[in-house]
Amino acid sequence: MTMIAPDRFIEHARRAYEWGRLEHAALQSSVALLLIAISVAVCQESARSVAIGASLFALAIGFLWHGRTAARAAHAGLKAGMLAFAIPIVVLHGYFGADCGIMTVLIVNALTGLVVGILLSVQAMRLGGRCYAYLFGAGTLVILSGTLGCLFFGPIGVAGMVVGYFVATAPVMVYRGATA
Amino acid sequence: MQLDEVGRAELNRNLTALADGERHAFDPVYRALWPLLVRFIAATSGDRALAEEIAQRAMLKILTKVTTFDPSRDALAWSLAIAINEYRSFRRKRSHATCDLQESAALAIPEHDTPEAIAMRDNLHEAVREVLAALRPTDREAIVAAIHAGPRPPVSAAAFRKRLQRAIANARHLWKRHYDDDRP
Repeated sequence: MTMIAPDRFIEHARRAYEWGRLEHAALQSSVALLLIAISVAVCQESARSVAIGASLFALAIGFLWHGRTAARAAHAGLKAGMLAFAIPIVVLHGYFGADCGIMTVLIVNALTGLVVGILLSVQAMRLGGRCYAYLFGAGTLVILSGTLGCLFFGPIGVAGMVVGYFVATAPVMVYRGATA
Repeated sequence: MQLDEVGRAELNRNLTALADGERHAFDPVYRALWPLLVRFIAATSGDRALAEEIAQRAMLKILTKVTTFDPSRDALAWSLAIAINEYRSFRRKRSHATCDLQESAALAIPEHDTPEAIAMRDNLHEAVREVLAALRPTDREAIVAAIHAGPRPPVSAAAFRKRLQRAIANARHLWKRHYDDDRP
């Protein structure tokens, strides 16, 4: 590498910083690629799995690259998202299998959303005024991960998870709104 | 490095903020680190012009890796560790480049007939003859057969290759003992 002119170097330094963040974000978001692969294998809806997984991957990279609350939401969302992805797959595909009805899907996914929502709400309580952004960002990643896990069951599964998550996180949002 | 406790604490705070994605911490980190890096590398290398070049590399590396900075560590120590690694890696690369240059220069046996070239050729021939004479007969036989494509010992091709490999290793060892090393 040759020396860069001192007056132009600061721009290079800024670019290096942003590229470093992007690279790191892509590496940390790569768990989404694993979820896509499992989803394609289990749910057999390749096109939708790839589309939803790519959205999850891109969003996680964006959040992590941006940093601050968004990055914290992405970290938590990806971890909780693995839970939201695994529970429907293990319970609905592994346990119920062909006997799985709409009601079962709804209950399992709502409970999953509820559990994940409670876990994230506990963490969000420590963030003060930024808890809305945190819960919204993490929730989006959780719902996308959960959707990858229950593509086979259609929108009803996703709806159940969204409702469960909303029920769990609403009290925290209301409480934070009241005490702000 | 000349950085008081307050400056050090501020650098810690700013680098932690930058690692977290606070872009406004970029300028303070850059302004604090740049002179420190240049002074540190200049003191290590004793070359001001080189120090600026290595400081640039170190600064780019620090900023690329800042996302992985652990706030429980000291920002200055972390940055200087990266800088010293960059300096070492630069020296390593430069010494490899110099070695390659010297090696190619050493391998180029002068072909013209100046008195220096003739003396150099004679010396090299004499040195090679001495090393060959000190080898075991089987090793010498293998090397001579390989160089002159002459008659090979009555062994299979694989066994000859192995014998030649062993002979070259022994010759290298002898050369190193007599003339320090076979490579500059």
